[in-house]
Amino acid sequence: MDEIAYRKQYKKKLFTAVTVRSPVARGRLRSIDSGSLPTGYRLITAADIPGKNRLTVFQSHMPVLAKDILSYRGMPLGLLVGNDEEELSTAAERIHIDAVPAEPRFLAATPGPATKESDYRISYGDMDFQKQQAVQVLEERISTPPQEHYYPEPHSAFALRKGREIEVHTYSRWPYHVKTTVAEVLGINPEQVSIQIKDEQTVLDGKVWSSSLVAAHAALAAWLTGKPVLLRYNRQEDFLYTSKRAPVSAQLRTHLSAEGYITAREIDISCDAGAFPLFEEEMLERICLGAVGQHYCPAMNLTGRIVTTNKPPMNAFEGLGTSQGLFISEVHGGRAAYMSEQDPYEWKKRHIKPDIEEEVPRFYREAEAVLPALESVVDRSDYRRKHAAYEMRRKRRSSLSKTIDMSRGIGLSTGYQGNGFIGRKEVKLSKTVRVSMDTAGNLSISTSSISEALQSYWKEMAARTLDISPEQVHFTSPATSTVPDTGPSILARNLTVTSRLLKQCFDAIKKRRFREALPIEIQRSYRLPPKHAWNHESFEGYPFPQSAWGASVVEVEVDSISFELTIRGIWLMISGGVVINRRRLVSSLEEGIRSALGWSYHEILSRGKAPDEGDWHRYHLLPPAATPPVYIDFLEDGNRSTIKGISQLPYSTIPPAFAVAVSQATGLDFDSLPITSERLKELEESS
Amino acid sequence: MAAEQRMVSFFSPADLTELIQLYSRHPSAVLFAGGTWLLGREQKKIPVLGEQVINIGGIDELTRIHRTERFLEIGAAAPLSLLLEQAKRVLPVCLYRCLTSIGTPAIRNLAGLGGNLSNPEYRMDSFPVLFALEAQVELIGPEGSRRLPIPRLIDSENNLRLKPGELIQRILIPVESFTEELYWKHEHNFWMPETHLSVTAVARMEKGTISEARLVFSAFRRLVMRHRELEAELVGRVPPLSQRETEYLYQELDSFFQAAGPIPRELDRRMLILKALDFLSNLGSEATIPVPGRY
Amino acid sequence: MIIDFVLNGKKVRLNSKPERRLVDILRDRYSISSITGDCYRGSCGNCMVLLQGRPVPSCLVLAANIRNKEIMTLEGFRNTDEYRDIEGGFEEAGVKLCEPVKPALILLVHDLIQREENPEQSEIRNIFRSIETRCGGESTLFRAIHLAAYFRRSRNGS
Ligand SMILES: Cc1cc2nc3c(=O)[nH]c(=O)nc-3n(C[C@H](O)[C@H](O)[C@H](O)COP(=O)(O)OP(=O)(O)OC[C@H]3O[C@@H](n4cnc5c(N)ncnc54)[C@H](O)[C@@H]3O)c2cc1C
Repeated sequence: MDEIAYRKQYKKKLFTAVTVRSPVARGRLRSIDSGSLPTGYRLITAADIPGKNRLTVFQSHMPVLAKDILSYRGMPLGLLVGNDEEELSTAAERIHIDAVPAEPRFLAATPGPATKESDYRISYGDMDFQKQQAVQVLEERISTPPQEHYYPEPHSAFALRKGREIEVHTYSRWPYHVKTTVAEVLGINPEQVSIQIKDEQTVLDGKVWSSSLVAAHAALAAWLTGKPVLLRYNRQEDFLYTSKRAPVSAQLRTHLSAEGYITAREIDISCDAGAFPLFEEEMLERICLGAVGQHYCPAMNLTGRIVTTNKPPMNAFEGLGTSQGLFISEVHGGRAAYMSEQDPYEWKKRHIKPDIEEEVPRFYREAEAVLPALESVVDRSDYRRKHAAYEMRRKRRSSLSKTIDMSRGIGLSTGYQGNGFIGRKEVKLSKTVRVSMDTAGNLSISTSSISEALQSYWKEMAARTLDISPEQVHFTSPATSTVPDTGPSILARNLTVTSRLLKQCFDAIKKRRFREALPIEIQRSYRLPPKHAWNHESFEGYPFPQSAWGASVVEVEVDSISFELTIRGIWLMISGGVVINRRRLVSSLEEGIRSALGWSYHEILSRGKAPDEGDWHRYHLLPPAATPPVYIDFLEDGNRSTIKGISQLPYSTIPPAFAVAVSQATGLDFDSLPITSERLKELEESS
Repeated sequence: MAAEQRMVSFFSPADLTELIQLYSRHPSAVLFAGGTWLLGREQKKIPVLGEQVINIGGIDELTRIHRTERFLEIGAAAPLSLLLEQAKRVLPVCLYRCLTSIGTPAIRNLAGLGGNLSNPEYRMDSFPVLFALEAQVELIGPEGSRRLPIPRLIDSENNLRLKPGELIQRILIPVESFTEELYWKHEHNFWMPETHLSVTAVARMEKGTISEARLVFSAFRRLVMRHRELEAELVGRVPPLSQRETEYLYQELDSFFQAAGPIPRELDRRMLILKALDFLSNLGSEATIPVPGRY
Repeated sequence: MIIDFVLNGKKVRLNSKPERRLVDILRDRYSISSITGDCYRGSCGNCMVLLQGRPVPSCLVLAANIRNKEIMTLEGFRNTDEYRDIEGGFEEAGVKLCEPVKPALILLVHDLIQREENPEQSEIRNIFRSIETRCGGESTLFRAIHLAAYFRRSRNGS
């Protein structure tokens, strides 16, 4: 946010808002007392909200400001507004919050009040029969930690009241959600609210709803004081109190036949959504499907649930849960291959494309599309030779030895990225674009999809279809007053939904432009293809409108004395439609790999307690180029016209490949991430 | 409230004489050198440093780097980057490696050795290295100057032994050459001192035998340990060390760390010991004699 | 406290509490928008400026430290030929930088290629330790920095 531009424009009239937060992780708020405030300053609390005190995502809600129940440390319960930052921080220090603390709950693994409607179940096959076919059972718990988004900029919003109307500027992936939230909180008509969106240039599935909360706060302050209000979190505040990638814990039981085939699986999953589950339905389903994974299994019983704890909301991250799920299934699969003493690559291949008579559910059949990527990545990385060599060394070594030695390991993993929302949720969303051509033949595109990266692609698509120059194509500035609602720009919907709608508009204009007088305006809305059917309980159909596929190999070296981890090589092979700007795509995949590795071995975020300053001190990102160059390549998947979202593939495939590699190098099994040298030491010490 | 009324007296003396006068008048003042520790751990918008602060960063006498026949003399407030650039050819290899591991290039444009050595809470990275190099600190105060060997800078309670009004002016590193040097540091990140371990080792060889060896270990940015008797026992040995010698050294160091530290975790002790043994075993094995200026 | 210093080539006089951080002074008093006071612990790099020609995180510098010193922010650096070498390298390599890390990356690259005509990979890797970001793929970043060094060498006629 260009804070300085606002300061220049409004000078002393610009008010700043500071969020007053709950000091306890769980409890009851008795009172907030601001003492005497400088003139013109104001403390806004839940009681001041003119509309509804809630933020809604699909059918779930959270309060905008806590009224009496405090659900996490840092939960917003007031907004202090004033025009001098120093005075404001002094006044904020003086605020007295009287809260009655209660015993908080931080871990999701212990059963607790699950949100009923989010319980999820997959069940198919003849469980009893398949269990009898097995000769061994692999049982374990695997979990994944939270992760900080670390957006380029901390959350911020600017709001300006203009009589009966309000204008809000913010970063968001879902402008119309900001709009409805602001309208609901202020108790006004959505027509009175206009949102201007800034593009942050990176993929940020996390900002899908959290910007709406900050925007609602700024809007509330501007509405009640009549002043232009800027609300900007600092990095520490953003880190401590905004949503993180939701941690997941899974209990798995896999039954294996004498030949090493999976005959049956029982999986129980809990996802810790922090204090308020939002978006939980999509998230849980993605986690569960990820945990089912790509390895065919004739009988399955899966249960999944969302659990609430007294931590800040734990929520959407790149891919909304697929990576957590795939981590679980891939690491578990690696272990199953090991237990049945089989080459992990062969084992994987046989489970992705089982050589059997009976009918395989479509979910697994679709996954066969990953095979070319798998074969290619195995080739490129020289996986089979390395794996065999490291395995031999491992067998010779009893444990990590007493001499200085490097042990190596290599891991393999496959994954997918489901583009777009799973089946029925897409139906609930608006998805409209508008394209118009003026008398001079200039094209104007209106969509609320924010994607600087795709604009040049859409420009070219328009120019090609309509035989005009790309300079004649313009985008309407992304404000809700001027563009239609295209829904949230997450889960690669920009590619799957927006691109398709724009193409339809361009085609329609092409047909009509010489038959009708200009200007022409076309509006198109997305409808789910009729063949798209998915029933999770019976496991029939296919959940995603479209998928991309990827396979990774990670090779590591572990110092047997210091347990320092070095990555020796990373290979990522992708099969995901056409590649438009290769260099840019590679660059963004490298960003993803860095974050994925950060999650795997570098970023430390404890989840068993309320957030505090110590967490902030310990949390650091992996710097660019901390690992060796990455080999990335793309495979033609035969479909020359579709472009697909692939940016999540590093998150889904790199962490399990990494964990499996470290397991081979050290002979230690991991039940969670991050695998730091500290963690290796603990495991070795206790083994 | 405290926050409003807080008034800070900030002094910026022009030279060393003025600094000493000021500091003896305000011995409880906070010395501000590069400020990277003082401001980095204090993450408030307006930092709370103390009622009186004396800025020593710009004082010429404290930023000079000079080499005499006997010593490399480093001003306490000379930025580490300046030191790394100006003295690259003469810095001992272990010190060079240590300094390049401190913070980031941008931090090193501010941070100095004085601030690194006189941290009130932690034994920062250069401490064990300067100890191994048998460097001295030159202190200056109202009663004039005096020199202290590095370990004497702290007392048995791990507190700095500076008298009121006294500060570090320079760090003096003897000009010596070693056949082999090691600096090895291990930590998850700087803000997690509980994960920190380091080993500094220097040795001289004469005709295939060890004529001198020094080993300094640090743990958790709290403990700095040197086993002088063991060092003396190493003299005259011929690497590579035999199995029996290695086992003996292992036991000796292990009990030393259990007593001296203590370092409770076996793996931490093992890490320190094996890094040191590896250094000793490889002494003279290859022609990897470090040449100053090439790292 | 009255403090004279040079900001982006111009002499300025500041009246400030000595213990205010430079990052806040530059933003609040001089409307310098390239930097942000994000972490206040010298690790994110988002407040990088040149102090006497060397990059430093301005959150770790106090008002009292800048008397008679030269401060250059990205705003000032943009007008130099040195900047154009780097900009050229970044454009040619197709780097898309997130706005907040720009000052750090550009000023650190400048400092590096000023000292090393032909920087090695390890030195480039080293400067990345001064920033904290999820933005920027390494292949384009490396390429950009090598190109910037090349442009700088060509301009210097070497
Ligand atoms: C991001 C970051 C990373 C860091 N990484 C490392 C690291 O890897 N390793 C490491 O060792 N440190 C690290 N540090 C800490 C710090 O930067 C160094 O310890 C640095 O050397 C301190 O020097 P300074 O000049 O900035 O000291 P200051 O912060 O100015 O002072 C530190 C302390 O020393 C006192 N002092 C300073 N000079 C003198 C003197 N001449 N005489 C007596 N007392 C004095 C001060 O009063 C203060 O108590 C890091 C800091 C940051 C912000």
